[in-house]
Formats: sequence, structure tokens, C-alpha cells
Amino acid sequence: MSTYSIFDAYLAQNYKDISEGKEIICEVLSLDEGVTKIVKARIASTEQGLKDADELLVKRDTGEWKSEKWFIKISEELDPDETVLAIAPISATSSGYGAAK
Amino acid sequence: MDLRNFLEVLDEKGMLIRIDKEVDWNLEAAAISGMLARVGNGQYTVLFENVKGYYPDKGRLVGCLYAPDRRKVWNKIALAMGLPPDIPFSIFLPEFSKRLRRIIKPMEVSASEAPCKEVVKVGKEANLLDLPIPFLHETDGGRYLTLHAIVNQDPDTGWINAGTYRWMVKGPRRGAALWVMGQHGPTIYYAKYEQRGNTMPFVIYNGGDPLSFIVSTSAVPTGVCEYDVLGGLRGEPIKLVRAETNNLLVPADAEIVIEGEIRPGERIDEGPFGEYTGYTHGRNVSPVFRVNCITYRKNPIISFVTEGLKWAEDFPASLGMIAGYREYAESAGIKGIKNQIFSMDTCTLMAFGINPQKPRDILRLARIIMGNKAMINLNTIGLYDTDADVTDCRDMMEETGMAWDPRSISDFTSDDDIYQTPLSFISDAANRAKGTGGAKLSWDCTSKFKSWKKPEKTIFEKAYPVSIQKKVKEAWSDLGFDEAFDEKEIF
Repeated sequence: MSTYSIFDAYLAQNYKDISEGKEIICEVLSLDEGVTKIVKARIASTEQGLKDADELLVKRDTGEWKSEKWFIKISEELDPDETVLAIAPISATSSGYGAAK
Repeated sequence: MDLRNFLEVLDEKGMLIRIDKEVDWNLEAAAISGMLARVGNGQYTVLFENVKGYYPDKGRLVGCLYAPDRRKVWNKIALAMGLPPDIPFSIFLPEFSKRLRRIIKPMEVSASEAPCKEVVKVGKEANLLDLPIPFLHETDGGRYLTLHAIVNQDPDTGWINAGTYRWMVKGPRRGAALWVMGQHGPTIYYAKYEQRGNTMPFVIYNGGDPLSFIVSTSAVPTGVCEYDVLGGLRGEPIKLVRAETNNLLVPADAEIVIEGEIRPGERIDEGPFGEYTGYTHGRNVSPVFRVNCITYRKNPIISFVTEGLKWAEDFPASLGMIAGYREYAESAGIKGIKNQIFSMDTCTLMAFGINPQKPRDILRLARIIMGNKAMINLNTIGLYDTDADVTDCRDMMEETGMAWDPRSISDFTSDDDIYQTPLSFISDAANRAKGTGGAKLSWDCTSKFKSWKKPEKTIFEKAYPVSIQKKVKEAWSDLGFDEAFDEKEIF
């Protein structure tokens, strides 16, 4: 089993598709290789329904781990040069620090 | 002098530790280096010769390259300049400033004379993961280069800029940077290339002259090339070689060179990253650094710094700023500055020792420094008598506690227009993105023009007659204390 991480902002951005079991395109960090990858994958909050899924840890924008553990089944690794990924908004609250103005 | 020569110098001085046991590039090397910086007091630099997955010939790592003695934070830079590491700061800083002002133009050499071309990988053959670029902190978004310069060129004037902006590996041929408008390199890109819809070539180098990092993190004026300043600091022309896939020049003795381009309008996530300001700076948006070519020396040595609190490995990077601020203040007519230093860890506090010529010099000095754009990195300025050793954090805090009269003029200012490092957490997200929304404070601990007279300090040299001091010194080792104490503290 490999381990990946994702920012919680991307889970929020794709929440509807994830909850309907659809594949999404997202960027994950492979903690084994130390490198980010853009992948086509299904993501779930439990392992059921995602056979042979890998572990997906969730980070805040400030890098802290969230306590929840998700699961990811990658179907395809995409060429980053050919893929445009919508960047999830970075807000004062998602950055976890700073004045709230 | 290149990185390998510098490691030999450190080795000769007994300051290099070589580790041949396997160490992981993934957090382990940084953890070892960070702890060594914390407990080693700058005595050592560490060379990891057996990096997991890269041994025996695909690359090595070096940490604590600049990690300083906490009481002599300039010691390794002095060595890199060919000066004795125990040189007093009052002699070191003027010499450093003098060399920093000197311009010596670089010379171009052929590819056959450039060690950085020993291995050349172009196009799909280029792969950043072939190099042991380290993963530094658990909270980071990926592997990072930290002791490097990103080189780009003004398309109108031909001015070449080489600046240090943290750089993240995003894939085999992609990277991202903390690339904020207002700093030279990013401004050239955003204001000239991207605004005109043009692609910007870049090169990134790591290694080469150990003084390179000091220059690429200094406030070198707009239009002045860091290579010219580096030549002046070194005292001879820097040897440069043309990149393989674009027209930019890089130091011929660099360990690794990454060549590529940034296309207009492309954006990617960058960060988070554990920064020198003492906490993890969050996710940002960066242009996409597309990599077209990587060249490197055989078995390259990638130098890195484990940034964060308690180790202050990259403090010497602020030396260029220190020299610049001092010159700036002196050119504005402030006399009597004896010493100055950044705070050790977060590099956001600057202390000055000054013998003011007029009462108003104190406030003027503070305001002149605060008004400098390079002040983006600073929040606070402390002003002290010249008998206070502001290069020593403890002395500085003692002096603050003893000699700061809260009734003296201290200056506080806060406004959306005031410069503030994007790495600071005191402003809101919108201001952080622009480098504004800052607040600055100066405090005055000088005594010369006060209504009170400063008392003698109760310290060993004043509290005891010379005869007793002499007796204690002579008996010291017989008392069994000899190596158990810090040399600066005793006699």
C-alpha cells in the first residue's frame, strides 16, 4: 500500500463528485517518492468500495495533518504538461494563521 | 573557491563530519542536520556520502554548511572569504562591506572548462528525481532546494538577476517557487515577460562559490548583477558558462544546474514550507517552472539548509543585508555605528550599537532603516550603546532589560502601505500576498543623551579587584573547571 497526501481544500472543492463516487482529477503528494503527481482517481472516506486502495492523508494549507484518513484508488497518472488543474482557493482561514481581514 | 574546496577547508579545520552510513533524503538528512546545527554550535558541517537510493555515485547532500557559532555567526563566512574564523566582528564587517561594494565582472568559459557540464541531460532525459534533493520538514509540500539562486534576465536592459527564492520539486521536469511580486526576479517575470505574453527562460544553480548564497540573498540594487558583486566579494572574476538550452550564464563550478522556462499565465500550487521565520508558511500559487535540461557534476553535492527555530542555519544569509543597511544609514549622515546584527533565529530583528553624535540621530537611524524597502524583512530595531555586544543575543537581552527607559523615544508605526515580508503571519492574507500590511517598532536603549547617567555593570571584570580576578584565572583549571565552560564567558 502506498501513501499519498492531499490538501483539504481540494477535498472541499471536489466534495460533490467525491461523495457521488465519481473519478476526479487532483494533485497528490506521494510520500514514498516525495513528489507531487496529477492523477485521475476515486477518493473515499472509507476503504469499502475502493478495492486495493492506497492511503490518503489530509493536510491543511499550512502543512499540518488532519486527523482523518481517506482512501484513494488511482486509475491513471496524467501528464502534468497536458493537464490544467483548477487551484483551490487559499483563504485567510484555510491558511490557518494571520489576521482575518 | 567552489563548494568542494570549501569542504576541504572545513575538513582541514576539523569542522567537517563525513557520514558514510546510509541516510534517507526523505526527512532524515534534514533532521540530523537541524539537530547538529542546534547542538553543535556551528562547529561542524555534515556531508552525507551515502544517500538512500543515490549511493554510490548519483549524489550526496551537505547540511550545516553555514550553521554558525552562536557567538560568532560570521565564522564560516569568514573562512569562505579566506579570513580566520575567529576574526572579531568589528574587523570582519568593514572588510565584508568593502568587498561587497567592489564590482568585478565575471568571465565566460567554454563548456569543456565547466565542471557543471560533466553530466548533461536534455528534454525527457532530464529528471529532477535523479538528484537527491531533500524533503526537509514533514509539513512541507514536497522536496525543496534552499541554497540556490534562480537566474533570469531583464528583457529590456539585459540586467541579469540571481536571487534565492525557495524552490519546490513538483515532478520530474516541473518546479514551483515562492515567487512574490516586488522582489527582483519575480518582478522581471510578472511585469515584463508575463504582461507581454512572453515565455521567460531561467536557470537555477546549487553549489559553486560558497559566497554565492550570501550575495543572492543580499539586497543588491536594481540593475546590478549578483555575479559582479560575487566577483568583488571573492576578489576575482567568477567563471560563468552558457546554459545548454537558453542564453543565460551560470557559475561553471556549480554542482547542479537546472534550465527551463516559465510560460505566461500558467499557475501551480507551491508550499507549504517550514521557513526561517520560524513556522510553516502555507500553500501559495506559483508560476510553473518547466525544466528543459539538467546538468551536473559527477556525484553532485547538493547543499541544503534546515530552516526553522533553534538552529538558525542560514543566519549568515543576512550578512549582506546587515552591510547594506549600515552603508545606507551612513550615507544618510548617521555616524557612530559600531556594530549591528540580525537576531539569530527569525532574522526579523536588527540591533545596532551606536554612539550618536546628536540626540536626534537615534530616531533618524531607526526611521532611515525602516524606510528602506529591504526593511520588508524586519519588524523591529533595537538601538544600544557601543559597549553592548549586540552580536550576542544574551548580551542584547540583558542590555534591553537594564538600559531601556520606557520614557525614551521609541517609534511604532503600522499601516497597510508598510512593507512586510509575505512570510509573516501578522498581516492578513491579501496583504501577505503583496508584501504589505506591516508594523515596525524601534526602541532606544542608548544612554548618551538621556537625563540619567548609566551605572557601571556588575560583571566579573568590574565586580572584583584585579588581584582576585588574576587569582581566580590562575586557579581555574586546578579547580577542575577547564573545559566545562564557554571560553567567551571566562576570561
